[in-house]
Amino acid sequence: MPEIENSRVSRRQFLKNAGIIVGGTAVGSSFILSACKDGGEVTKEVTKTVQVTTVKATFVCPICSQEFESITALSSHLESAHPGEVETITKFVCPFDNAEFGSLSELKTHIETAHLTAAPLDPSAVTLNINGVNYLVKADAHETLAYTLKEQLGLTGTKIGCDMGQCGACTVLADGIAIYSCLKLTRESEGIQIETVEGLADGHKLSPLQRKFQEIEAVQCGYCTPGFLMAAKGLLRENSNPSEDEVRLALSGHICSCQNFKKTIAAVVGGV
Amino acid sequence: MALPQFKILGNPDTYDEKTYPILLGKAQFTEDYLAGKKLWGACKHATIAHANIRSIDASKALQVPGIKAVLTYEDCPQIFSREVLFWGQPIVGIVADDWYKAQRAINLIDVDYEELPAITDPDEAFSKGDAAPLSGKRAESNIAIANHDRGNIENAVAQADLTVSYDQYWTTTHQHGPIEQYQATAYWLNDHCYVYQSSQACHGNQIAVVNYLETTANKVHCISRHAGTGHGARLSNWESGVAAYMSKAVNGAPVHFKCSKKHSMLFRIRQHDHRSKYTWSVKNDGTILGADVEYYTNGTGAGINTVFQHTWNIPNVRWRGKGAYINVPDRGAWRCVSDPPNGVQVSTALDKLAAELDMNPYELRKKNIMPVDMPALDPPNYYFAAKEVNECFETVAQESGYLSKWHKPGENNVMDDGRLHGIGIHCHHDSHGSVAAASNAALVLMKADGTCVISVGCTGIHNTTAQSKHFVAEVMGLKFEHVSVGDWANTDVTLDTGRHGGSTFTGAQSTFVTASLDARAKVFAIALTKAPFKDIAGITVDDLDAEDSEIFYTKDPSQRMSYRTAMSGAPGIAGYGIGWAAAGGGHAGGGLQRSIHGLPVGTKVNTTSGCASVVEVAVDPETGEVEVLGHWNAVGTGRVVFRKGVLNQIGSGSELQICQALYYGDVYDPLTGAVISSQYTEAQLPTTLDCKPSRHTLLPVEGDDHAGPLGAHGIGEPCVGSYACIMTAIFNATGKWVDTDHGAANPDRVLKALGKA
Amino acid sequence: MDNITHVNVGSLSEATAELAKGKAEVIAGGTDMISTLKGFISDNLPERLVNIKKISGLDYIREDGGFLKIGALTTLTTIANSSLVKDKYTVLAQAALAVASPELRNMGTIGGNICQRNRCIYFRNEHNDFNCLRKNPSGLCYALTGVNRYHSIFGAMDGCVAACPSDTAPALVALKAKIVTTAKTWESAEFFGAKNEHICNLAEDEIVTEIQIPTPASGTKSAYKKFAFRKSFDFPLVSAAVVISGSDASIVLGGVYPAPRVATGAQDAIKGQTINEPNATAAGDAAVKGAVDLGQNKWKFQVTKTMVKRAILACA
Repeated sequence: MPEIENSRVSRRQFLKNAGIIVGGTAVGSSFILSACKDGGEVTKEVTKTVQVTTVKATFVCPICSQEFESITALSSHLESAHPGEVETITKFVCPFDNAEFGSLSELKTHIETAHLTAAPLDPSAVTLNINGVNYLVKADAHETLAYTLKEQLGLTGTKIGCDMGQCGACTVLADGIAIYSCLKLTRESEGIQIETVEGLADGHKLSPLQRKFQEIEAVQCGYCTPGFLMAAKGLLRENSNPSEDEVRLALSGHICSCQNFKKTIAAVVGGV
Repeated sequence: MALPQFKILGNPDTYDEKTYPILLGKAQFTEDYLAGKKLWGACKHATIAHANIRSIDASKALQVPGIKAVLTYEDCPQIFSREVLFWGQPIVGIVADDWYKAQRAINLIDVDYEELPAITDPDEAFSKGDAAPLSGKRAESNIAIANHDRGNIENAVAQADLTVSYDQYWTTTHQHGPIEQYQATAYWLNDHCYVYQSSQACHGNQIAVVNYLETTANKVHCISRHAGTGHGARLSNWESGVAAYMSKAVNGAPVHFKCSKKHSMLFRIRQHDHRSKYTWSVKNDGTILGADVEYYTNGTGAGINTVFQHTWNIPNVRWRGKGAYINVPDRGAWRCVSDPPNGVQVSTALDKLAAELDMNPYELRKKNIMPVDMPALDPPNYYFAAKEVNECFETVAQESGYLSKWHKPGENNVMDDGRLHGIGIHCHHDSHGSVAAASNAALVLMKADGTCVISVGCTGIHNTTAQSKHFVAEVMGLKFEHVSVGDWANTDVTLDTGRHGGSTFTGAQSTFVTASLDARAKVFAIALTKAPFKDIAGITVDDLDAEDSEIFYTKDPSQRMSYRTAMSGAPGIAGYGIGWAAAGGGHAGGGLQRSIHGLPVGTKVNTTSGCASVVEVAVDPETGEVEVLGHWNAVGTGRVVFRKGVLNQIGSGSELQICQALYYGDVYDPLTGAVISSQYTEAQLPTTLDCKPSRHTLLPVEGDDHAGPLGAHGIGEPCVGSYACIMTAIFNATGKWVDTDHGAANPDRVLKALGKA
Repeated sequence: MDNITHVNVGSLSEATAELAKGKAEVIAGGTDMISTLKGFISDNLPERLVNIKKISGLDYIREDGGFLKIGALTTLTTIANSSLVKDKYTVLAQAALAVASPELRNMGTIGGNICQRNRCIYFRNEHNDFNCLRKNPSGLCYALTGVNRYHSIFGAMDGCVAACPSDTAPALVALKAKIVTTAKTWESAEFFGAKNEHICNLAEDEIVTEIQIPTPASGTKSAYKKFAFRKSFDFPLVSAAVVISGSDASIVLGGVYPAPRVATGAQDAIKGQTINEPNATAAGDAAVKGAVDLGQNKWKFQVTKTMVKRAILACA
């Protein structure tokens, strides 16, 4: 799938030409479940999630010609790199159709109305990088990364526990750093390399960390396990031979309601 | 059958096959099914302690796009009641295309209550008796009575050198707080209902759903493979019923009903809080002649409990138990049922007596513990199938160095850092071990290639499915990897092997042993028709045995064939077994399997298991913090089945009691009776920084449970005595008893006991 | 929280303009915002989230012109791990490390930590079952007649007795930090309050941009001691931030009042003295002079004394 470079085709048109359907089975989106009548079947209409490479549009700074991939990034650049000069710019060019506008906000309005059905740059179309693969999903503003992973992408390994950042079941790595996916908005998850538990193993071959968990049976009910694994992975990347105290600190954002800490901590102490 | 040398049971290399998909992130819990294909359900809770609902107005909610349905007592009275019995009771169900929309709808639904008098303090219920307002939880009285008598308490008082009474504090209530909230998913196809549930008792749940729906079992299909902890409190089938009705309300579309963290806290069961008054009649040398006990619980659990009843050699007992059923969230089964709070009550009362007599608590216990070969003191006066309590008590005292570390309460115990050292000891006969299992059943299916699949009808929370495999592999003589669990906790393909886990384990053991013996006999019969066995004159099935997946002639083991060869050409064999009760009535085949205490095989016995604990603490007198310095738990395991699993059980069960002792307690608003500790910040479970694994020593005490066919028995959840030990250890450290006031020994309560708050 | 809109902004002026539209709040780390929205804890929650994380130049730690300057979007993990902060502004590094859990520190920013909503058990109860005076002008305080075990020991601030939940707040006040916003520069001691749901006195369209801490004289010692029931996740029930600089002592308490509480009595008791056990103890005792028991929180007097003493001794 080629990237667009200075394309004159609108993003929506491009996607339509490519036969790609935008969106997934989003929470809150309109999907229909018409349930069974006697002798019938449960049917539903969903739109599919597909894997594509990132679609970009290029916004060029009129003062220094530096290129940016969003109007927001351009706006930020103008304020920090050319303070006070924005007023001198008389021409902003739309990357989709080369139309010209006298101010950044006029250009923004044009893009909103002429090229896309939704708000600026269709913020509901979100590109996520999960375990090295890009996905394009349609996400409501309130949707969290945890829900998107589970409901749209079918990556149900990440668990939702308390859903309020107090238990650690939903931990994923974001650019190598452990975060709670239940507190991370999907629309704020672009441009980040996200790793989930499904990415640890090589196919069906367990990673050394997972093998260690298995060998000492550091799993009881298993609900907290994915969260612990991801936090442990984040630790072991930084510190390959952690002490018991270092492990306890790194994993202190996790509740195990089976209270099987002894085994879980033991599995990580000393590395793999 | 003679007790074999075990190849599989206790083998340190065996494993739990369900761990593998969990580690891969592929194991599906309830919320993981039907990803992206479900509607969502939530509940509205009542904000009053006792009321009748006059009306519910959901019109504002139903106008919100995406809200699909609202259910009340008018739609499904089996699920939602018209009478509110506690603040937080679920009263309305909401179905929406987005869970947060359903949550927001909670405050868009108006409920008109007719307020009724409420009673939220159990002590008020006890003091006022029938003069207290009726809570509505019981028909005639708020108080349930549970009395027990043994011997003659007045004689004990007359013969004693000393009779002394101790009023005791309320132990904590404890809601498990599992990180998988209570939830279920249901959908319908025609008039068949399909439920994914996170419940311990798959088949029991199915029957409950059948009753909720007023339908038949062949039309209710339940799957309950993985559940996120909750041991003992994860028996609830209510969520399944809610999901089923919600789905029905949207024409059978899949609905995932989920309780929020707050709702899980509010309306799922918690462990009952206990208090007591122990009056001991005792000789000067510490021999206890009588115990006159007033026992009070919030909710159930007021009756005499094996922790007291089967541990102490006390000839005269008067037990007067009262349980108050009041307008607070329900109490009930929880991990270890009543054992931890019972343990606290009896152990604190014993340590008070020890202090009174200027005795070491170990010596006082040793003086009064039931000897190894003494039968239970109450009818039916059964002997104990295992010897464990004494062994566990001595093991834990030895390993912890209790005797060299003990000092008198609050004396000679200031540590270098200024904290106060304390140590506590406890032992008891656990209420677990085995229970009547005549209702449990299992299938062992031999495939045409000589491997085996077993039907396990209970959730895999605590390595249960793995344990069942061990019995089959051992009895069948198969290699461990030649037995698979396959699907489990699926009511369409499994039989009811009972509730998960330790509690019913001898039951499950007998279930799988009988099924294996049945399968084995059938396969051996086929083997006899093939070479080399068919050529051996006079050979019968009883001349065959098996090991490592090979069947051999016991009189000449070189005559052998693989299970694969035996099964080849056969379409498959099903071995069927039902469990037996080792105690009490029940199915033939129960009772002792091997002789103990000189009793014949078949004698009905008491199958409770034994355990003991020591905990060593440091109390910071300037902050009230209690740190566990050392923690020893000895648990009678019978013959160990799944060695790695046993260590998990002992470790986690005892750490959980530290949670009860030091962290968790409901926080109530006194004016409304509301439980307001709805998040982990106040409904506290400890973290890795609060637990230091290296301080914890696990001591499985192996032996032979003579009631179990293979000598194994359940170690419960296990119930141990860490909670009791912490309370007595704090006393040993400070000379003061902490008023836990329905909660934990949090630092503020410890400071109060020290007179610093 | 299904009714929110989400707006990305590229500049502070864009952000301010969005906030001025009303029913809008910034989202930085989101660790308080998202769980607050999910819990429907009040009727005053925003419907518009203004994402300021795309604004460049707000994530830094540097010394400049006699001040330590920290950008408002700097995460708590970055601050806790910074050798500069650990070395010269120790109390702040220790306070940042004490916040919540590793994941929350990775996501949470110092700007967010000082602007969060309060954590009273009644205030935080989901679905707004206790619509208290902090979120409802005609409401009352439930803690006064109910559970006040976790609450203020120095009485009420604007009628509220919830304890200040921020660990970094008392550290910043002890360091005499300034809080720079899009509108003005605040003295940190004036920044915190209980006028609304948040622990700060920001106007509705005002955004924190930078923390400025005057670089202390060399030889300054500082420490943060936190007390909570658990050693992770919990908000401070009592904490003490101490900065000893020459003959100057700055002692500020957390978890004992709706805002960080300057312990002037304790300061007077220890300043200019060589630190030892007796005078650290005396300072601890002085810190609770005038403390008020609400009925269930007298235990905090003892713990406050202890935290002050231990924080002072850590500066010896």
